[in-house]
Amino acid sequence: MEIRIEHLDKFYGKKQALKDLNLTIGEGMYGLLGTNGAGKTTMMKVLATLTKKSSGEVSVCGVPVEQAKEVRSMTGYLPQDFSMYPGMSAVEAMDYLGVLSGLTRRQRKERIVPLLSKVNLERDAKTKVRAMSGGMRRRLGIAQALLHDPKVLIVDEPTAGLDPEERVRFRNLLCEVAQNRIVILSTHIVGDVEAACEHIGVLNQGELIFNGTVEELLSLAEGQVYQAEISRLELPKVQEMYSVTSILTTGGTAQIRFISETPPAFSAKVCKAGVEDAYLYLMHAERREF
Amino acid sequence: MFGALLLKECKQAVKSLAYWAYVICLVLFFVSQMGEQSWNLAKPQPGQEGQYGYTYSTDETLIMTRTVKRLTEDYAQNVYTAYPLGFYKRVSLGEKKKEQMGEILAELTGKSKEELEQLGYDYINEESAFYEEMAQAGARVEMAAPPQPDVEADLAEEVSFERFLELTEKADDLIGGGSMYAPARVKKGVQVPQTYEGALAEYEDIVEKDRYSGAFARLFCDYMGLMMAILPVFPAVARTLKDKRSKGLMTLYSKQASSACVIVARYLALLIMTMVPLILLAVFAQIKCSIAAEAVGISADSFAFLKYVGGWIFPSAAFTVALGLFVSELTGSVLAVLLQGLFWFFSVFQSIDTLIGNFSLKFILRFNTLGSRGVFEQEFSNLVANRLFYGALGLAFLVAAVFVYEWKRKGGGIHFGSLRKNQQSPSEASL
Amino acid sequence: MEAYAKISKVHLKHHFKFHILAAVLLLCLMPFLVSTENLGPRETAKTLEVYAALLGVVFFVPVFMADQDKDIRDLLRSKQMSLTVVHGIRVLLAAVFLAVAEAVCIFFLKGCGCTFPMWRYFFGVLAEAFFLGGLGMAVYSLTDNPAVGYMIPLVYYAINLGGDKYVRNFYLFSMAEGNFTPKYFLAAGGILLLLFGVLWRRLSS
Repeated sequence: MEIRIEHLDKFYGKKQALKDLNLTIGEGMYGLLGTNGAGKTTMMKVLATLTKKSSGEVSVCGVPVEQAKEVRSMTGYLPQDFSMYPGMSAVEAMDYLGVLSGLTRRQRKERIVPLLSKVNLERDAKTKVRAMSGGMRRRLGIAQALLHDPKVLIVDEPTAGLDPEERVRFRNLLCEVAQNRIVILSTHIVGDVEAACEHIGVLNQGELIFNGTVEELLSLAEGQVYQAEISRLELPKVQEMYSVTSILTTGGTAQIRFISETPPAFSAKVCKAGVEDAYLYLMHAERREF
Repeated sequence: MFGALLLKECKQAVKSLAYWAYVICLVLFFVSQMGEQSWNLAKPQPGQEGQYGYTYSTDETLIMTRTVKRLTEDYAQNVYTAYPLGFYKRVSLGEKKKEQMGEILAELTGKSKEELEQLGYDYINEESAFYEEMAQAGARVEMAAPPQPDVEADLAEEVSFERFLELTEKADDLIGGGSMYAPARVKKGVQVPQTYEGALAEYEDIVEKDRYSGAFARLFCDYMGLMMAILPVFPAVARTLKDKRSKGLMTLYSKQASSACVIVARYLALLIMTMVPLILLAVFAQIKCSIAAEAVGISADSFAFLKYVGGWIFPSAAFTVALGLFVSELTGSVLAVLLQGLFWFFSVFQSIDTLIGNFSLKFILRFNTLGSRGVFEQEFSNLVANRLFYGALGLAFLVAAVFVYEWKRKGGGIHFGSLRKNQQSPSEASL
Repeated sequence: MEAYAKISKVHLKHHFKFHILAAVLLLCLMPFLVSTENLGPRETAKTLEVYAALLGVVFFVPVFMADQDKDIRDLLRSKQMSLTVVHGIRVLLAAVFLAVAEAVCIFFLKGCGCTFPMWRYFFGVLAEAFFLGGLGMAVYSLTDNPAVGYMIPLVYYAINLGGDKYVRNFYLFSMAEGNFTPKYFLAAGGILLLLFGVLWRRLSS
């Protein structure tokens, strides 16, 4: 059970959205990080057979994506802005989408209610999509994507726009779901990946600039993350010289974290790198190359 | 702010597909209706009787005799033709109404019912015998004028024209309205072949009063008015739906600009942009017309097309865009297309039986002829009143659209027929 | 089979019912807008061709409106059942409702004492309705814009009011002039346009 991507290219007209992507994704949660417009959604749409690749080989559990129908029966997809006909209730939407997923009446009957309670919507089964909050809608989206018990679940920016509590709940839900499945989630929120994913990919301008475990990502930045206390007046100068990942100002001084490949000129302590630091380090290094 | 917004809205229109579809449709229609229009106007030459076309005679005796003849024929067969809405309707009268019709005819002719029926069939037989003869001789039937029996001898002497009009109005009521005997129809006169003098007078009217291009401008308005009574609704609806599709409604609602500013700018932009291609077509036609006039040594009125388009078609567009904005803003759907489509359909067939003049409050004004300046002058005050009426109605819809926008902005809206007031669903709140 | 029934049911309940309502409204207005009583064959043809055939636009153009929202469309496309099948079902549904509505018109006219060949006119008016509706649907598919989808058939209709000079064998109002040949062209053209509309929708996304 794995997703194989080999030499994947995708053009929109002249613009290249994905550049020679090579990647294998196995069971468990896979987090796809990247800035807005890095190509995350494009990659996910290729996997969900919603957009045609320009060249390369992509297969889902051994089935090439050209065989759309078969791939679709194995994948569940939750788009960035999940919405359904506003006049439908949660149950109606699930039932309809279940039909489109080729489920029999019995299968739908058996699965819909348990799934809705799994995503905590059992009491809102009759609520219309129109009247749902962003979080509720997202949860309904997960439920519908799981309806046909897919081997692969593709979720695009699932936590964007959710409040912190909803976000944590949603992350946990995804982790639960990821048992015996491939779950690919894209996000630009580093915290999501840190909490939930073992494997991470980082996309930048259509290129995969990192692929590995969280530890591997952390080790990249190991020894290059510093912490220092500087005067507020110095802040602009330091920001110019280094990639500052966090600032905490108190009175006239500022506590900063920053990335530097060489020890800085002023006194600073090396500290343990977090995923956010490592990600920023990566992006920083990437930008300098250009 | 308003000026900048207006400009932005105009740019939006230029970038929208619906607008270009509108432009293409307009040009296509112009080409299909006026593409082969000859812009030359020949001065009638004497000695070509029967080739000057037709005109309407308002000679009272002629009107009376022709009308009575026709009514007698219809009475004999008890079949009347009516066009209540421009559509053919065949009416047969019941016993009681037939009786009343007989009384009307009796007063008009002074004859008994039996005599009338006999007379009616005589007319019909005479006519069909004539056509048969023509067909045998190989003549083109539609060009031949049927024989006119001496109906005058059959008319009752003491009936005045006023009384005649009263009686035909009664006859029209019996038929149910919209018949050949309706007062407006009767007063319009009867069709007779145009004489050389008549044709010459028409021509001189066009040259002197219309200064050549006026007559063509009326024809232009006749055709293009048909389209301008429906097409502008499409860009208007598309513009409103674009807001909805973009899912950016809440962002737009939250801005400082007043609802009046937003809607009026949008309205004016749509109106300007829908008028621009029409004006270009008018200028194109004007140039063609002026060149043709120049060739025969007449200096044409260079602004005739613009004047006619401004007074005649502009109110149509103003009304149509306003209605489109109002209904689509209110319902958030393409319902406006259906409504305006129905209204258009109704209007088209409402004016199809009198393609020249007879404006009253019809939305689509037809003047499907080159010339007939006299008819137009008679109708001019009606035209002005009519156009002011639709202009005002358009303005009312615009104001209503502003109120609807303001209402929706404050959380109102219509969903599946149920009104929702000042309550915001959580989904929209989170958008 | 159950799945197809379900898809039809959902389409009816959440989308199509509004368009059916509009069609019912148009049907109810028919006796007030056009003549329907004691007509001969030509006049009956005029009523059918000028009015009843417009129902094709009402039924066929909104076939894609249900997934006008790009996100919903993507979601539906990610399912095992092809969205083209769903569209196909909707087109069939529209065709069935159209046929029923035109049959109602035919029977109504017959009941009003009009004389005309029923089956022939039924086919004739359906052919025109298919063409007008197919034209609108194909344009909608091409442009992804419902307003344009309604506009083009309407303009085509208006051009036909001026006669058959430009449209020849695709003339809409031929039956009223005693010529039935264009109906075959319209029927074939209509079906091709419907097919094109559905296929283009598949290819374009």
